[in-house]
This record gives sequence, structure tokens and C-alpha cells, in this order.
Amino acid sequence: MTLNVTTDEETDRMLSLRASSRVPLPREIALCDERDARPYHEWVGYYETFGLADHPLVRLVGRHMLDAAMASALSRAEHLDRVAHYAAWLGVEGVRIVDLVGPTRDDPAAAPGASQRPAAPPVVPQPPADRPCPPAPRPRSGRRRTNRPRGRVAARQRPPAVFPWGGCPQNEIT
Amino acid sequence: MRPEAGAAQPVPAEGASCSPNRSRAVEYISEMEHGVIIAVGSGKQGKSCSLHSLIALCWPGRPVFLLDPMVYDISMFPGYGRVSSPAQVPVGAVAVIEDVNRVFHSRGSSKDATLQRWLGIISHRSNVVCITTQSMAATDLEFMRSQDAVVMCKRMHAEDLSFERPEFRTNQAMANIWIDHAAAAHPEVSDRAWSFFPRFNEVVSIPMVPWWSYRNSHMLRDVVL
Repeated sequence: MTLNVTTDEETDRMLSLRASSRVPLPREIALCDERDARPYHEWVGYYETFGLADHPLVRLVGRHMLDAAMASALSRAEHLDRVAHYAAWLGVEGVRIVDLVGPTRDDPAAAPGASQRPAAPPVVPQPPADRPCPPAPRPRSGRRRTNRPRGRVAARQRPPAVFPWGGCPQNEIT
Repeated sequence: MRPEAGAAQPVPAEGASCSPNRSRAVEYISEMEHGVIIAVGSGKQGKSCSLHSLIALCWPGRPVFLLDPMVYDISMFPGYGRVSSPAQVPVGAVAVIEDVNRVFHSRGSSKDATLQRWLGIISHRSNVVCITTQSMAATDLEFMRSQDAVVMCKRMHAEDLSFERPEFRTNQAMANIWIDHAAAAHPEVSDRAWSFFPRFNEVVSIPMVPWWSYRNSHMLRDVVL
């Protein structure tokens, strides 16, 4: 399916900057506008009622409808909203949900209070074999990366950071 | 913007519910030497709690200072210091500004260059500036210009969303949708624990610091204007 969209020079410049940052946005961004969301939801709701929302043909047609909704929203959007809509088109993955709070199978005290302590990594349901999880793109920071543990595990393993000012007391400064 | 009752739920794209116990946003923030983190959302949606919890999670042991010209008791924030001006923030520290519009007015940088001068040197002084605000419309955009800025979105009411800056409105609308989606998928987790990071396309539940209490969320209760 081919969609032709007309933009101006400034929008194209912003789009190229956005595209080069490789920060994708989900396709569902097109559904934020009610004029695009209502027809899509009405159409997909019919198939969901009969349990056919995951049928390949329904998903295929739904994807085309989403493309049309994207083009429609794009043509109506203001300058900077257009950037976000285009970014969704260029994006390669959707939103990830990461739960760092919930109790895990390894957590013996899976009480409400225990969920506030990041005691153990949560057990993650693995994706089906036919839909492997895409590799997570790393945002570019412009800083040189080093091979060391990262994240919460690293935070527990690393000694407290030493800052150059180290002698300043941690109390009120007036 | 919440999904209509009975309407189809947002369809997660491939890999959206695949959630290894690693958040790209948290890892990136853990490695930040300097930058700006902005917690935006309507009132009482967990901005301060999530921000302080994020600081404790990403930078354990890093000095943290509350930047506020008002004088109030900070003993409820264990290990925190207080400074009254940007010049007093030590090298390497994290500066937290609660409700940034009280300290730096939303259009103040056009009249006063203090914020511009400070943000121009935070990369040299290895400072991370963490702010909370109820909307980007009430925030000086100087915080976003030429900075390594990470926006952390909480829920925003529809009325606040309609007045939000256009360049942030879409991300905030997506945050509302995906926080609802994550809260429904994880009912054991408080919905105010969830935060959406538009830059990383993630909605993350951040573990609350054990010392958080009613006093912390009402820290300005006894302040006289």
C-alpha cells in the first residue's frame, strides 16, 4: 500500500532529525485523534466480539487501516505533531512494559510491603517462539561505553560513587 | 485520554509485552553524569515519589540536594541537603526542584539569565537536575534546550492535557493510554508507580523508597507564602 504525503521543507528537516535519533513511537499514536480512533475501534470491535482480532487477515487489514489513519492524522496535524506521527511510521517497535515493582516467584515474602523492595528480578514470561522479542535499540548518548555491569544489578555491586567535592557535608547549606 | 469503555484496547506492537527485567530508561539514567529529568503529570499522580524513588534506584550514594528558596523541614528526606540557589549545588550532586514553576517561572528565562547560566555549566559540574511540574506549559523550556533531557510522564487529566504545549501533548496522551494499559496488566502494582518515558518508549513501574510517607508528599504543607 502506498501513501503519498506532502510536507514542507521545515517539517522534512525536523523529520530527518527525528529519524536519525532512532527513538521510535508506537503506531497507535495515530489513534490519539478521535477522528481516526473511532472508525478503527468500530471496525476492530466487530472482530473482537467474535474472537477474531488476532486473525492474520484482520491484523493485515488493521495495519492498512492504521496506515490510512496515520496519513489522515498527518495531513491535519500541526507542524510538531506531524513529526511525532512520522516517527511512529518510522518506528520499529512498540511500547515496552517493564515492571520493577511487582513480587516475583523467587520472592518468599510476596506481601504488599515486599513489592516496594527490589529484592529480586521479576520473572519474565518469555515471548512465543514465533514472535521473538526484538533487540532493544540503545539510545545514543554520545559517550563512550564501557564493558561493565549495568542497571540495578550493577547498582548493588558497585561501591558508592566518589565525587570530587567529597568533603561537603550533607546538611542544610544557607 | 482513557480508552472508551468497550472500545478496543490499544494493540501492543510486537514485543510490547515482552518485558525483561531491564529498563532501558533506568539503565540510561543510571549512567547519566549530567542532564535534566522532568517528571510531568497532574497533581497527586506520584511525580515526587517516583522521582525520588528513581534517584534512589539509579544513583545510590550520590549526594542529593533540594533546591528551594523557601525554608522548610527536610528531615523527612534522609540524607538530603537543601540549597537556596543554583550556585550552591555542589559538583557531582543531584539537584531536585519540586514544582519548578515556583522556583523558575515558566517564561522567566526571557527576563533573568540565571537559569541559562546554570544549565550552561551543569555538564561541567556533573550535575543532574530533577524537576517536577504539572505541565510543560508551566515549565521553562530552557530546561529542554541543548540538554540531555529525559521526560518522565505520569497521568495527566484531560483539562490539563488540553492546555499542554503541542509538542508534548502527543507523548502525554500516549502516557495516559499506556499507564492505564500497564496498570490493568499488573493489578498488584499501584497505578501511581507507573511512569512513561517517551524517549525510550517504555512504561516502567519504579519501586517506592521505603521512607516515603504522607509528610513527603505534603512537604510544603506548613510553608508560608
